[in-house]
Amino acid sequence: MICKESMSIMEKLEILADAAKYDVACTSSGTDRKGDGSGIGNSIAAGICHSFSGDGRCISLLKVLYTNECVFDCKYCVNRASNDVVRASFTPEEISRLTIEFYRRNYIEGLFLSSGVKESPDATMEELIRSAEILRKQYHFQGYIHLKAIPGASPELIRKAGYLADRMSVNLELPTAEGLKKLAPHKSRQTILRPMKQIQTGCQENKQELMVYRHAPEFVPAGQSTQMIIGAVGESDFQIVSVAEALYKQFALKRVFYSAFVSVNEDKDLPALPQGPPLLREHRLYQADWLLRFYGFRAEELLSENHPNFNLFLDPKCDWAISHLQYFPVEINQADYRMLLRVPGIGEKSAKRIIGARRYHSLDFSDLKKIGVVLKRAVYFITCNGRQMYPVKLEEDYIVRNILEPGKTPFSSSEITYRQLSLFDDEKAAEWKGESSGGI
Amino acid sequence: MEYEKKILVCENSMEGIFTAVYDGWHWGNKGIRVGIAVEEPEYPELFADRVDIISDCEKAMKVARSVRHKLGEQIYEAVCYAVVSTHPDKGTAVFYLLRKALGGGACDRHVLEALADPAVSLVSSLRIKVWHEIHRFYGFVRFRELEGGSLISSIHPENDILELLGPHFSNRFPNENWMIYDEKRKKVLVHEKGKECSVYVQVTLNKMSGEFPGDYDEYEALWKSFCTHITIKERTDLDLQKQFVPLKFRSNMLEFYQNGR
Ligand code: SF4
Repeated sequence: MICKESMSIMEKLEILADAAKYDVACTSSGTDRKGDGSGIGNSIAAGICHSFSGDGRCISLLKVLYTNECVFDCKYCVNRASNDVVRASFTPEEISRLTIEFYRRNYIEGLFLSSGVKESPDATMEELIRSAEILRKQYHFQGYIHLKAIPGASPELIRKAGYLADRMSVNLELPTAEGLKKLAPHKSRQTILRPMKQIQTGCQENKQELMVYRHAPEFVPAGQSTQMIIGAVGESDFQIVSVAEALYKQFALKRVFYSAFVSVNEDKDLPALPQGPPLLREHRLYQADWLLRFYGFRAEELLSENHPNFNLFLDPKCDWAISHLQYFPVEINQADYRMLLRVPGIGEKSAKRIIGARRYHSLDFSDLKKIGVVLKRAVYFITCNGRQMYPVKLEEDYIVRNILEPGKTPFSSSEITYRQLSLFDDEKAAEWKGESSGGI
Repeated sequence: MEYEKKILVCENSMEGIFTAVYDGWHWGNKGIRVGIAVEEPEYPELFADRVDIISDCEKAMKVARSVRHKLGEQIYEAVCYAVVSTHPDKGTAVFYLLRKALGGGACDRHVLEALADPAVSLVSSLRIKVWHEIHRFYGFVRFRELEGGSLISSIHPENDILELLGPHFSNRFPNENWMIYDEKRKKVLVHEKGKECSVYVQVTLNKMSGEFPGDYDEYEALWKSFCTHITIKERTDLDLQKQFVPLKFRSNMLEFYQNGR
């Protein structure tokens, strides 16, 4: 292990921010807390983005590892024990001071502290707790804190952390249990799911407590999230969304994050991915996740054993609509909220606005435009007072040809069929992208 | 002779516009068309009476109070946001939205849903725009520490939102001395530890954030470094970054300064 004596804060930050960057969750959302005037900070439920990094992701929290020393050896991770990298650790005093100084300059909403496993899960968890404790008790910090639960840490420590943090997360890491066994030999489904369950139960009990004593201390008020790596073990999208759905239902998770696998280690058990991380796939999974959480879709409506992966050219909602034309067209002036949400081009906001506005008068296409409906997509699936905006056919191939932007697919637009698109998988897409970029 | 339309010319401020709403209301009752202009109209309109409105705090307060009480906080907020926007027709739109909600003794607390009405539609689109900018500045304000520990930030927002930033930052930093300076409008929002905010107008500050981009203090240097190291190089997407932080915001955000500028 390479370990440098007396590193400056700058050197530590470089190493430990670098090491934390693959963690996706940077949101500060979920808690509304006004400052009480005694210290510093507050929290806004909608979250605030303070900056955006060069990869276009929001920077909202000081996202760092406490240490990148690690006794575990997860194959996909730069910090694994068997890698020869420079190691660094903060102290609780350093990390809390850094958080406060960033916070008062309005760089961040708070701290997201994760960590490698230094010595043991419990020893590491204690250091994370100490850091949060200094923030909350010494600085009276009322901003956002997200703490990682270290797999294998004892329930007492998880509990203690939960009373300091707004959000906690335990990473599921890989969507399948076999995948986990293969790539993260020191972790198991059990050491991951047990703290998850504990946090869920803790949150539920805390809600009861808070109803009785309004000033009872809060336990993980912003709920918990998790993250899984996409494309490292050959899993299907169907497996992923099914796992996500189960996590939402059985563990009441607030968010599941997806992280396209970035190859940082060479290992015979890891895919090589010469075409880069599977970003489009990750994007589709986020869209589908949205459908699960806010649009009332179930995983098995979107995918199945026979249709295990998302269409790379159509977003999941559009794909669903085109393969379920029997539910369309939807009449804007009559359909219920649930059905309006299922129309491509109508989001939550516009569905709510439609319901509000049609109380005043019946709506036509120009009203929909003002409301913010994306007519370009919706037009195939809706009527206003029984009329279409202009004559369109309710037919798979016709819609596909019209909805896709020309040049965005490997087919010439006059011949595209829905079936062709559905059969086009990741591998072919990589070839096609390779070709098209080679041509330019 | 009285024309069928009145153009009320008022000060470009909440007080000015609310006074105009107050003064114009009785014409509205008579069915006379009313326009509210916050700037001298470039071409005087034919067949319209021009009326100069003198801002009156009491009248403005009355309007504010009845909007709040009768229509609720949400509509009040929408109106306030519209009023600080830069749209030339904002005053007229606010007037007609309030006519629609309160005219003839009505009290329509759902008026914002009537998006087919042009006044409502304009106010609600201005509200979204201004809300968006306020929310962006919640994140994009950057304080620099001065000697003695006070914090100072400088912004140039498109809409006149400086005052609207007050509640958020006072709640967040109750025990700091801080100020936010609107470079464009030359006014400054000042918060003294433990007190309410106040606004001073016609202020020129000479030592501003971003003026010495070379000499970062310790935490500024750490922040710049953090922003670099948190980026996943394999996923670089500068267009996406530009979409979220348009260039016009970056002059006050140190993480975007090139070294030595
Ligand atoms: S536990 Fe695994 S994923 Fe976490 S730092 Fe250690 S090696 Fe990396």
